[in-house]
Amino acid sequence: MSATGTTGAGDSDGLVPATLEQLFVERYAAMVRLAHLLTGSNAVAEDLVQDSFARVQRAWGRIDDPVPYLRMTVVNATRSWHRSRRREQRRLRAVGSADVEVELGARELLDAVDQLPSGQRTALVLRFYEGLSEAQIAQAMGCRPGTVKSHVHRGLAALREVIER
Amino acid sequence: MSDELETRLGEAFAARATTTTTSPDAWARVNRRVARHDHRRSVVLRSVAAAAIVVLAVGGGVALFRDGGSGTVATGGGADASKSMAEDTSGSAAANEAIGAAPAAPAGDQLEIARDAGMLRVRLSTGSNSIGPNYPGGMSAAVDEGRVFGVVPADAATVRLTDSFDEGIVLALVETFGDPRAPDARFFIIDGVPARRFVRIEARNEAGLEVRSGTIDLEAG
Repeated sequence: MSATGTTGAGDSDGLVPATLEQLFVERYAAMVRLAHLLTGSNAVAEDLVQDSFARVQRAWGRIDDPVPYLRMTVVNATRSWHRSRRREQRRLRAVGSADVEVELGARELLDAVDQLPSGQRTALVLRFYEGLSEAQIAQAMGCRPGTVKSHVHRGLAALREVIER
Repeated sequence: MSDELETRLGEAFAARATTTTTSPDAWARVNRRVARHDHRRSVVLRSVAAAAIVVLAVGGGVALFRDGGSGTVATGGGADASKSMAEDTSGSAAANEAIGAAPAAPAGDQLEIARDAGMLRVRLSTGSNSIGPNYPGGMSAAVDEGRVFGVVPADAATVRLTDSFDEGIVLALVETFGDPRAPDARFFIIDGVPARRFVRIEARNEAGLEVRSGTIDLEAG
């Protein structure tokens, strides 16, 4: 899969990492933060991102820019994790293992985000935390820009309903 | 209101992100994962090379495998769209017989490849399903015990499994692998097939462009 998406916020900004180690140095922490936002668990985030780096290594000779490819791999990994770990996710939320240091209002909003369908949650994180464009989000999620727009719109609408209660 | 929510959302995400920590040995862990995959892949390739395939000439063809059940694939797009891709191989070519299991049960997957009058037949030995015949440039897949394995065109670098009703939902993304016995094809294996009936398979080349796509019925037998 080509990773030659448009450069911009969150991408290589013209300097493509030459080795996996360089990619790791430049992007590991950021990808763990992204995965943490998408899963709600720091430990799970690290595990998924480390797996994603291994996947990028396997595809290294076939991709032009590993940064968007890595992001797409991490997004897919979090999506797979949600599908197979739904029960465990509920348990983690119940014991409040995430966000103990986050102030109450933000925590409630994050809880609402965690309840959203995977596509909406991912689109919101990539849009309002990573600051990606619609095209970049579409590449990361493997869907059309129109689908991204729909995910963002519906996600915001669902959150609005929660905070207006 | 919308701007305020968006701002609050960004702040909430940033607040959670500040609590993120990383392990000091993360790079070592990545390297261990890479090494583990390299070892698994070398086991598979050795198993394929060691597979016992006995070739019998039957009217110019080659009889090789006993057919098992397989999922049907109906495809669209591509230069060969005019050819029907919906193939139900169950019960076909009864003359074909499974010949010669590997001398020793390999660890991992064993991919058996053969040709029958120029058409490709493939079987993954961890299950009983086989797929084929598959014409060059075509795509077919089989489902067995929670995994999908299949054949895609030679220029396919990755295969993506999506929800057949919402292509925005990507269920799996895997790389393809080749075999010197079949230079006109590449193969893929997807484990942990999600619990749904219809999925869409998209084969993409290295540029990310779709070279083949089709819908598979996971409950077809």
